[in-house]
Formats: sequence, C-alpha cells, structure tokens
Amino acid sequence: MFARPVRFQLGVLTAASLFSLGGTGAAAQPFDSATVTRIENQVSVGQGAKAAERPAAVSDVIKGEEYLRTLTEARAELKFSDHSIVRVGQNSVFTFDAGSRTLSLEKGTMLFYIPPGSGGGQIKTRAFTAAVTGTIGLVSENLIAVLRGTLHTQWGDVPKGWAVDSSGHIFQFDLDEVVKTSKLFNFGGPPPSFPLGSPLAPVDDEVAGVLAEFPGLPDLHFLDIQEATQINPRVRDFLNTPHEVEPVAPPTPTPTPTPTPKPVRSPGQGQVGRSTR
Amino acid sequence: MISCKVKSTFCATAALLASALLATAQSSDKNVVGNESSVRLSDSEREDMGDIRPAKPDSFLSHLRGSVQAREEFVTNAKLLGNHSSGDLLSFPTGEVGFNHALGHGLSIDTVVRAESAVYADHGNRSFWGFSGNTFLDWRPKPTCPRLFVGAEPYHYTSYDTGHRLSEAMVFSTGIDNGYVFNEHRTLLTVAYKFSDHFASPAQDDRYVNCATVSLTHQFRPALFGQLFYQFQYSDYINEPRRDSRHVVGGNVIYQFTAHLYGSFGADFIDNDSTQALATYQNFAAHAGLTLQF
Repeated sequence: MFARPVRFQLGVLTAASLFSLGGTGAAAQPFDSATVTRIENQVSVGQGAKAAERPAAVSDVIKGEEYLRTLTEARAELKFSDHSIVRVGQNSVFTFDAGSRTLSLEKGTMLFYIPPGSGGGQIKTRAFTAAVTGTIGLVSENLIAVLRGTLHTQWGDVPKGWAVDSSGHIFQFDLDEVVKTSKLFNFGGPPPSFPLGSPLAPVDDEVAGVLAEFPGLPDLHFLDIQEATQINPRVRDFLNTPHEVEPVAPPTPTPTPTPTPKPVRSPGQGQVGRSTR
Repeated sequence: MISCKVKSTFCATAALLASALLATAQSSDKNVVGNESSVRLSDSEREDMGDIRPAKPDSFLSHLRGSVQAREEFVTNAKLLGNHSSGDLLSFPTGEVGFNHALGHGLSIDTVVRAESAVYADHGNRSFWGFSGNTFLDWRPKPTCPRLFVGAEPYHYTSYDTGHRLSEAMVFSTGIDNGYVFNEHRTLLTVAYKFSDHFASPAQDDRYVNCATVSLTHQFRPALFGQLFYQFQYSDYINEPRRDSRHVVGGNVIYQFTAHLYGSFGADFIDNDSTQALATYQNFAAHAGLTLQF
C-alpha cells in the first residue's frame, strides 16, 4: 500500500469524502469553542486584523472565528468540549471551524488528540487536508506524523508510526525517538490515552488499540508467587511430617481388642509421581 | 523429571523465538519508503515535532522492552495461615525484559523473563528470590475479537535463608480475554479466563488451575486511572486430596508521571478456602509501587 511514491499534489479531499472516511456513527459535537489549558511564553488570540490581538491566558475561551498565535519559544494547549486537545507549537497560527470540525494550521506546528468515538474531524494545512477518527498526530505545514490511530489521506491510510508529507510520500519513522524529542508531545506530559503498556504500543484499530495498550487485567503475579512459596512448602512439610500417634489405651484384663494401626505419613510419602487422571 | 520438562519447554520456547526472529528479519526491509529529503522541517518545527525522519529497518532491539519495579506491600497474614495473624512488610524488587513481535494474520508472540525477590521484614526466613517468565502465542482474528492465547510460564524460587528451592514449576496455559470500552471511552471492562496445568517439583504440587477475572478500569484524568477487580481461582491438585477455591477482590490507583514512569497503590483481600485445612487462609494486603519502563 505504501510502496508507491506519489507526485506532488496539493490534495484537498472533499467534505463528502472526508466524512465518509471519518464517520464513526457517533454524534459529533461541533468545535464551538476551546479552552486554553496551558501556556508557555507569549501567546495571543485575535480575530480578523492583527491589531485586535489580545494576550491569551489559561482558562480563556477561544471561539471558532478567532485564531491563536504563538511567538518564538511559545506554546499553548487548547481543550475542546469533546475532550479533543490541540497543542500549538512556536511561531504558529491556529484556527478551527466548528461545524466541519476542522483544525487548521496556518503556519507552524501542532499536536492534535481526537478521542476515538468523538466523531472524528479534519486536519488542514496550506499543503493538504486529511481526515481523522480517534487519532494523535503531529502536524507541520508539509508533514503529518501519526502517533496513534489512522490518518486518512487521498494517498491512502497512514497508520501509527508513519508520516505523510505534502508530496504524498508515506514513510515510517522512529516513534520512540519522536516521543522523546518532541516538545509538543511532552508539553504538559503525554497526551491522554490508555498508555500504561509501552507508552504508545502497537495499535491495530482505534478501539482495539485502546484495549491493546492498557493492561486491563490487574497484576496479581505477586500474590501468586507468595502463595507458591509460602503455602505449598508448609503444606508439603505438614504432609511429610509424621503426625503424633495418639496414646494407646492401657490393656485391661478383659479381652483385649486388637489395636488398629493408625495411618501415618512418612517423609517423602507425598512426593509421588504425577498420576493419570 | 522436572528438568526434562523444563528442557523440553525451553526448546519449544526457543523455537517460537526463532520463528519470531525469522519473521522480524524477513519484514525488516519492507517498511521504508521515501527518504530524508522528503522531511522538510525548519529548526523550530523540528524542535516542536521531534526528530522525524524515515526509520531504519526493524532491528531485534526494537522488539525488546524492559522495566524495573519496586513494590512495598503490607500484609496481615505473611504466613498465609488462618486469619490475619502474622502482619508483615514485604519488599518486591523486580527486573523484567520482554520481547514482542507481530507475526501477521492477527498472531503475535510475547516473551517475558523476570528476576524477582521478596524480602519479609519480620518473617525473614520466608524471604526468597527467583526467576519467572512466560512465552505466549497470541491470536486476535480481528482487532475487535477476543484474544486467544497459549503458552508456557516457568518459575523457580529459592529461599534466602536455606538456599534451598522453595517452589518450581513449568506451567502450560491457555485462555481468552477481551475488553469493552464504554462511557465515552473512559471506562474499560475486561474479562478473562485462563486454564493452567502446573508440572511442579515435587510432583505433589502438580495441579490444574481454572482462573476467571473481571476488572473495571476508569480514566479519571489523562494520567490517572482507577481499577476494581474480582478474581476466582479453582485449583485441583492432581496427586493430593486438595482443592482450593480462591476469591480475590481489590482495587488499584495508577498514575503515570511520564511516558516511562508510573506509580501505583492499592489493596486486595484474599479468601482461600481449601480442602486441606492448613491451606485455608484470609489475607488483606495494601501495596504501593513504582515502575520504570524503557
């Protein structure tokens, strides 16, 4: 599927095809507004003319018609009502459209997290547009790297650990290296997920990926090894130790009953071979 | 006798690993399309997005994982004898190395080798160290299907006090598990069943074990998880007139500090009923731990 490099195409998928790709059957909430949850250095919010910009602060609410701008070494995190998250990198301009659930990067970089089942959305840069369902990805003007889930583009699906550039080249990258070195990924900690296995472990499907990545079963290994080491030796010792024989009643002049031997286990008696059952 | 069993199982494990390695080698050169020139990022973009460049072919090391864990546990019944009469503090340092490789068609192989120890603060003569591990062949026909697995789980534990073997077994297991996500993908219900056949030394400990587990996990915050669980385990000892029914109920809270470090604390209650009177016990345990994954 990825073996064919595609010539440069400024591809834009139509809205119809995007929704056919991204639909999950869930009732999608529009991206009406987003709340600023984290800020680093100088971040501003504007609408229309640049002169109308104001400094952004944590807890500010940004509407769909506004944009968010960051300067050098500045970053911001936005949270939407459906728990989608966008982290905007330095020297960036970010906007979003409520109805079409489009996250647009005019310039710079961003990380997006769209929860599985939330209705998906679109990622748009100057160079291309792509559809997502439950996905985490990093975006620049000419590149989208998928950290979780699957990205749907006109050149084909891009799974986790793969990236697509504006030329349509789809290639695999070193996910661990990106997780370690990406400032946006680590801005305020890893993005929400069920990441307790390997932080971004193999994903086959959005939902199955969640399951695959979380150790849903409790770790009772420690309980098992306590039992294995504490109970069995003691029970084994008990079984291998001769029991005290109850004192035999003194003989009486009258007819003496023949004493019945009491079964006593001798050492090693319990160590028998595996019987056939 | 046990050594023969261990050898044969290790041979089987080695064969499985060899097939996984072969599959790794065969798939190592088909992933990379494009080249570095296709990644055009400015310095500031690279700083925020990370070092994105076409990956090198899969190597053996890329399938490895490891972790170290420190765990402290207070138990009300260190002797596992009767009811709550021997409180103690236990320390469990553990090191683990794992290998995972997808074989295609929904199959994957996973191997873990673990070195571990338990140190009892008051009942020092019960402290032990040892090794355990497992190799499982997993099969999930479709991403949404339950996982089926079959594998082997050897373990060997030795007493610090005497230097003698405390317990050793080769365990062959098979089972099925699945998870169901609901509540806006923030809650995970997991159900599992596993059947195990323990070939132990001495053979007195040979047993069949049926184990069913249900757990409910909820994501309270992006990095904060809570978990409740119940487990029923029925053990049928083959060479002894002993049958155990064990109920475990408990809960955990897990917090992920970073992508590689997480901590947990929790508690559980165990009620083990056995036809062998000395194996009947109740125990309450509270634990806290820290795990570093790499």
